[in-house]
Amino acid sequence: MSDYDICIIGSGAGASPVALTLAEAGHSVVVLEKGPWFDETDFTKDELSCCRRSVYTPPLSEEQHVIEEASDEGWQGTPTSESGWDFWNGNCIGGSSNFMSGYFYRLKPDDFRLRSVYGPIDGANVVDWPIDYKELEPYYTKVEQRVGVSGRVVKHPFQEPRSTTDFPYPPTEENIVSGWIDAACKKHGYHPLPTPRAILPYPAMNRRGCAYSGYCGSFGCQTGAKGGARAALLDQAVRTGHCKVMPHCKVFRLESDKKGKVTAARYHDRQGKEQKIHARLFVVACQAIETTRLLLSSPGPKHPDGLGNNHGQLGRNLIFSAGGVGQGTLPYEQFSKQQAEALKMRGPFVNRGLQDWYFIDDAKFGRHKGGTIDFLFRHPNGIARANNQKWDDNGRLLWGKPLKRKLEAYFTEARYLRFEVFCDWLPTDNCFVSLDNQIKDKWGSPVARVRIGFHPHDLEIGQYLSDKAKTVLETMKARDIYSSVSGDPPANLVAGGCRFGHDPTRSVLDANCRVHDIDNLYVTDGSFMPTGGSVPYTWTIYANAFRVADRILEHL
Amino acid sequence: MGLFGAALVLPVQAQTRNPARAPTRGQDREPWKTLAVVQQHLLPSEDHAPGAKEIHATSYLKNLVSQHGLSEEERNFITSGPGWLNELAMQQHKAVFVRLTENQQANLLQQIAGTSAGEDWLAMLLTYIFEALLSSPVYGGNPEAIGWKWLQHDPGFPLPATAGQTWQALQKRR
Repeated sequence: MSDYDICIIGSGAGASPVALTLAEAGHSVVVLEKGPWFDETDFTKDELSCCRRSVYTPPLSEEQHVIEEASDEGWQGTPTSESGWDFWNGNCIGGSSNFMSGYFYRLKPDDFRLRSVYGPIDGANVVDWPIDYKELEPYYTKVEQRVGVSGRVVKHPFQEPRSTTDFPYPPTEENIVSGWIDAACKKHGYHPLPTPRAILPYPAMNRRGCAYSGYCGSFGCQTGAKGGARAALLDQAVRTGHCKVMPHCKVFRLESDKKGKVTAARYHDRQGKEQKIHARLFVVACQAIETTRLLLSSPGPKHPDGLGNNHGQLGRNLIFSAGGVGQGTLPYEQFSKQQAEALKMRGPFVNRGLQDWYFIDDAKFGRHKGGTIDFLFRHPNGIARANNQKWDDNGRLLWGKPLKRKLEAYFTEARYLRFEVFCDWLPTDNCFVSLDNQIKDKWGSPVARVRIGFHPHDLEIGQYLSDKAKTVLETMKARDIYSSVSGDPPANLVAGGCRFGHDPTRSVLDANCRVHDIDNLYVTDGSFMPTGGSVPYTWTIYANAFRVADRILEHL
Repeated sequence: MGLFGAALVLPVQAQTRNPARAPTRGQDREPWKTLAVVQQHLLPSEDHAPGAKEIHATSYLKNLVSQHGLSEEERNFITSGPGWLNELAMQQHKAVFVRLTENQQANLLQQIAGTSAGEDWLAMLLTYIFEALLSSPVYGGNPEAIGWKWLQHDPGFPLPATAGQTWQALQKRR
């Protein structure tokens, strides 16, 4: 007998659209989240909480990952409790979407058919998606309206098709630097884009508008303006009266019967006591690495190697976001007093991106899938910025009055304009999730072991885009311009591992994100993505989860 | 010879020895007496800019250590440093660190910064000085936002205002 119609494991961007859609349709929904329930009253701009003591993620001594990196001796695994390299991104109701910056870009039609358009790349497992842009477009629009995306459509060489003329909310307020970026771009003939954001510029949908505190990324939003999964969707789902959200419930195994059907979710409650929930249908959305881990940890009579792993595909083709970062210094002395004061203003956004090289056709460099450049100010966290100043140019520790003069100059004489490059992290056989055979979490379950190999092609594209971004900073007369492109994965931009496709021997999920040979198990986080596109994933995860929710409704 | 006396290159895990118990006494006792003097070298007071004393760096660090706000490894490393520093001071000047002249103290700090362990220790103290300088006053440092005013730092809003909004309280809810 089922306790609920649908049981969702995880409560973030992949989970909440399903919870809301099913609850609004009158189905009984339970959401199991391993983290606590934080809300607007808990979120302050406290660097110690968010970033230095990391209260929104588990202590690595209790829950960690093992990260495999290439070395001269082959692939070497290091537990993150030793390295300090944290692969958690926000474990609480709403998941990591609570702490995103809210850069929201859609994918483009060719992102769904990369293999057909650009052909194979040696050493990469690039495939077309089993759906096209047209199928996802209505759901991108739905996210604009239900999550709340602000922005302004402008003419652009690679503007993706839209079913509405513009965003439902106008852009958030912008810093004076946005106009300077526009001017520099136009000198080069580039097409600067107002960055769409999942941030409400004014109150709507029972949420307050942006307060322009200037601290978005890594911080929870105190007004609810940021379209995190809890604030935008899950709170609404709960208000239907059909959705129960349970924090502190760590699901460690899904039980399945002889037919392969999932029957129950087993979890530890806050007291560590084992509990079980039965449902007609299950949805897993724990973010890519943990979703694979849970399925691998759930063998059953018909799935001896883990749910959805009868063809050895589970955990393969994990992807991150490739690219790099760069920065230029804008000294206040270069500007009039009025301009400098406007530049100093903390709250207004930069909101500028470039997609002129989303698809590259360059006489020298060739024809390639490119990516996105986004401009932003350096993160305002004071302690982190001060800490970076304590080393001199030779890497020696600095202190006393010389350190104080350096701090004064750094904090008071300039602002730092950065760029981030997002390009495809090509899926390869060297980037995947498995279970570690030694390290366990505090409940005794094996932790995820993640190999993080990258394809050298990613670096070439990242460098090409970084060089383009630097031309904008140079034209703006920024000083001390630098950039860095590396194959280190950004832990907060992760997808894949349960790619969807038509062929059950080469994918884990079908086109509707249902596990191929399991009638009542769906995966709705970013795990489904066979390729990632060249933008942050959240909007696509939201849109796809709304799409799958409609398929589940038909299923029920 | 104390750890700072040797040019050692050790992983952090290997740098802890003679673990000191979390202090329960005042700042006029060791290791806090020595730590306060070292902190003042790291961030000296000036007319126009606060130093370790003005930002309450020692009491901030003492609170962190006594309230188990740091890992045991970090606590031990921080509080063991004065013992090593005093060993070196005794060896070179026949007096404990706080009894030396300011120049002698500065010279000893330069010496230990030449060792991997010594540099790590000073770097860690600086990190917690920056926390006392730039975190919310609710945590005991940065009184009357003196650090934010000095560096014209805009900390954003809202800031933690109640005990329930501090990292210690949020951490307990995990």
